[in-house]
Amino acid sequence: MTVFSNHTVALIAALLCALLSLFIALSFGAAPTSLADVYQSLTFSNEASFTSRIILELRMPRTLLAFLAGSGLAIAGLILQTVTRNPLADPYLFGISSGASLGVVILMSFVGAGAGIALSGAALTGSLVAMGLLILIAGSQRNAQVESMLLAGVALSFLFSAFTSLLLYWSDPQAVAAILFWTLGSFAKAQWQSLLLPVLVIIVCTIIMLGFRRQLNAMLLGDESATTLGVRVHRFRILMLILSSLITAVLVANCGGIGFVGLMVPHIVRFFISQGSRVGLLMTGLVGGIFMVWVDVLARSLLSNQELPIGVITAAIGSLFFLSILYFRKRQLVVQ
Amino acid sequence: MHTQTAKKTALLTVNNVSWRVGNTLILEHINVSIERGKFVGLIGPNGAGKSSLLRCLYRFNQPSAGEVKFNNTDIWQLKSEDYAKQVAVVLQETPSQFNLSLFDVVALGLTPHKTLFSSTTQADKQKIAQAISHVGLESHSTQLFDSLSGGEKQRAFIARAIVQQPQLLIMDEPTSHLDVKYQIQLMELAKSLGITVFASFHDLNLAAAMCDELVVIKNGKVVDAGKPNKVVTEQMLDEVFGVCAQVSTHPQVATSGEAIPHITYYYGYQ
Repeated sequence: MTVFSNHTVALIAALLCALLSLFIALSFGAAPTSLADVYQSLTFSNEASFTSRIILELRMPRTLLAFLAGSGLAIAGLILQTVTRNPLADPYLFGISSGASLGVVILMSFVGAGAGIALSGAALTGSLVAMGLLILIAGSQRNAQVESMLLAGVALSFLFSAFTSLLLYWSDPQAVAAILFWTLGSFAKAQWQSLLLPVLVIIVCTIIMLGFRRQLNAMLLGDESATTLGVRVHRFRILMLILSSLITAVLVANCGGIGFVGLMVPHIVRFFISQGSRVGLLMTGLVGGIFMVWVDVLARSLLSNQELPIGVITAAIGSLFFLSILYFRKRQLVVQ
Repeated sequence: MHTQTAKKTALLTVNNVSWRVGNTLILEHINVSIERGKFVGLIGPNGAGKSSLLRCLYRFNQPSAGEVKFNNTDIWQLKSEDYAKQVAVVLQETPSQFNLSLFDVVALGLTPHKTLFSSTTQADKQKIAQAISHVGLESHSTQLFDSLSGGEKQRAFIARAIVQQPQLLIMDEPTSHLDVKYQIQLMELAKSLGITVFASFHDLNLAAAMCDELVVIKNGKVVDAGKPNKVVTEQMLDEVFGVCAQVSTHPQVATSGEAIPHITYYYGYQ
C-alpha cells in the first residue's frame, strides 16, 4: 500500500526533526553557546567546562521535559478527543489541572511554602483526586452518556477553581505567585531525577494505547457501532480516561498546566495523517514534542534576562491557529 | 409445525424478551426465532420498537426480562469479542467527526479477531481489499470515509461485516436514506454474503421482495410472523400501519418460488 509507506516516511522524518530540534534547542539560553558547544557536551569531550555543565545539567533536562510535556499532552488530547468524540476535548477539560492547583494552594496555605518536591507531590495528589472523583462519577452510571461525563468534568473543574480562589483570597501574595506558576506552566524546575516518572508514565500509557488502537478507531464510529465490534464501550472509555489523566497529572505536577497543546496538536496532525493508522498516535506525540521544544526556546529567548510563561505562548499560538482554521474553512466553503 | 422446525435450526432465538426504560415498557414479551440461512425482515411503524429489539440482539441493550440465545447460548454469557466474531451489524447512520479512510473503516471488522498488539498482516490486508472490491468500492479505498455518499458508506459497512466473518448480519434500517437504486443494491449485497440476515425495513415493498420471512411488531409486541405473502395483507397494513392499501402479486417470483406481495397505497382518505 502506497499510503502506508508514505506514513512510515513521514514518521521517520518527524523523528529526525524531533532529534534535530532537541539538539538545536540546547544551544539557546541566557548563556551564549554555539551548536559546536552542544555537540561537545553531548559527546562528553569537555565534561568539566562551564558551558558543558549548563547544557547537560540545566538545558538538557529542561528541553527533554518540554518534549515529554508536549508529546504527553498531545497524546492525552488525541485519546480524549477520540473516546469522547468531541473535537474540543482537551486534557484539562476534566479538572485535572484545577485539581493540581488546588493541591498546591492547600499545601501553601496550611503548611506554608514547601520545597519543589513537596509542591509537585501536592499537585500530583490534587490531580489524582480530581481524576478519582471524575472516574467515580463516570463509573457509577452504567449507561453513562459521553455528554454527562464531559459535563461532570467541567463541573468538577469549576468546583476546584472555586476552592482555589477562596483559599487564595485569604493567603499571602507568595502563594498567589506560586499558583501562577501552576496555571501558566514552566519548565524552569526541570531536573534529571524528576524526568523519570513522566518518562515511565508516558511510555507505558502510550504502549497500552497503541495496543488498543483498533478499539480507539472503533469508538470514532459511535458507541453503538463500537459495541457491535466487541468493544465494551463504557469500561474502555474509563480505561482511556484513566491513562490520559495519569499522563496529564504527572505532567501538571512537573511543569504546571500548559493549555492548548493537547487540543491543537491532534487537530494539526489530523490534517495530514489518518488517525486510523498506528502512525497517527506516534506522529501526534512527536509533533507535540517538537512544538513544545520550540515554544520553550521562545520562552527562554524572546525577552533577554527574563522568561515568559509557557502557557502564555501556547495560548497565543493556539488561538491564532484556531482563528486561522476558521478563516480558511470559511474561504473553502465560499470557494465550493 | 413452523415453530417445531425453527427450534431445530434456529441460529438466534429471542425468548420472552422485555425491555423497559424507567417505567416505560418498550418491548413486551417478544418471541422471535431466526433460522439459519434465512433472510428475515423486521417491520413495524415508527416507535414500534424495531431498533430497541435489534439493540437487544447486538448487546447494546440488556433485556429487562427474558433471554436472547445465539446457537443455544445466552448472548450475555459470551465474551463481547466472541459474540462480535459471530454477529456483524450495519447501522442506520454514524457520527462523522473523524478522518478515517474507507480502508480504515473496513479494517475495523478485524477488531474482534485480533489480540491487543497483533498487527494487520498482509493476508488481513488482502481480505480487506477483497471485501472492498466485493462491494464495488475499490476505487475509493484511500478516500476519507466522510467524503463518501450515503450509499457508499453503507456499502463500506457491508464490507466491514464481510471482514468480520460473522454467521449473522443484523441491519437496522440500512437503506433509510438511500435512493431506490442503492436500496436494492445494498440488499442484494447483503444477500450475496450467503449468511443469515435479520434486518429492519421502512420500505414494506422492499421488505416483502427481499425477505424469506417477516416479523411484524407494533407497540413493542410481535403481531405476526411468517412468509411475506402470508404476513403482508390489507388487514395487517390497516391495523399495524394505519394505511389503506391494496395488496397484489408482484410480477417477479422470489428465488424460493414463493409469490411476492406488492402493496399499492391509497392516498387522501382522511
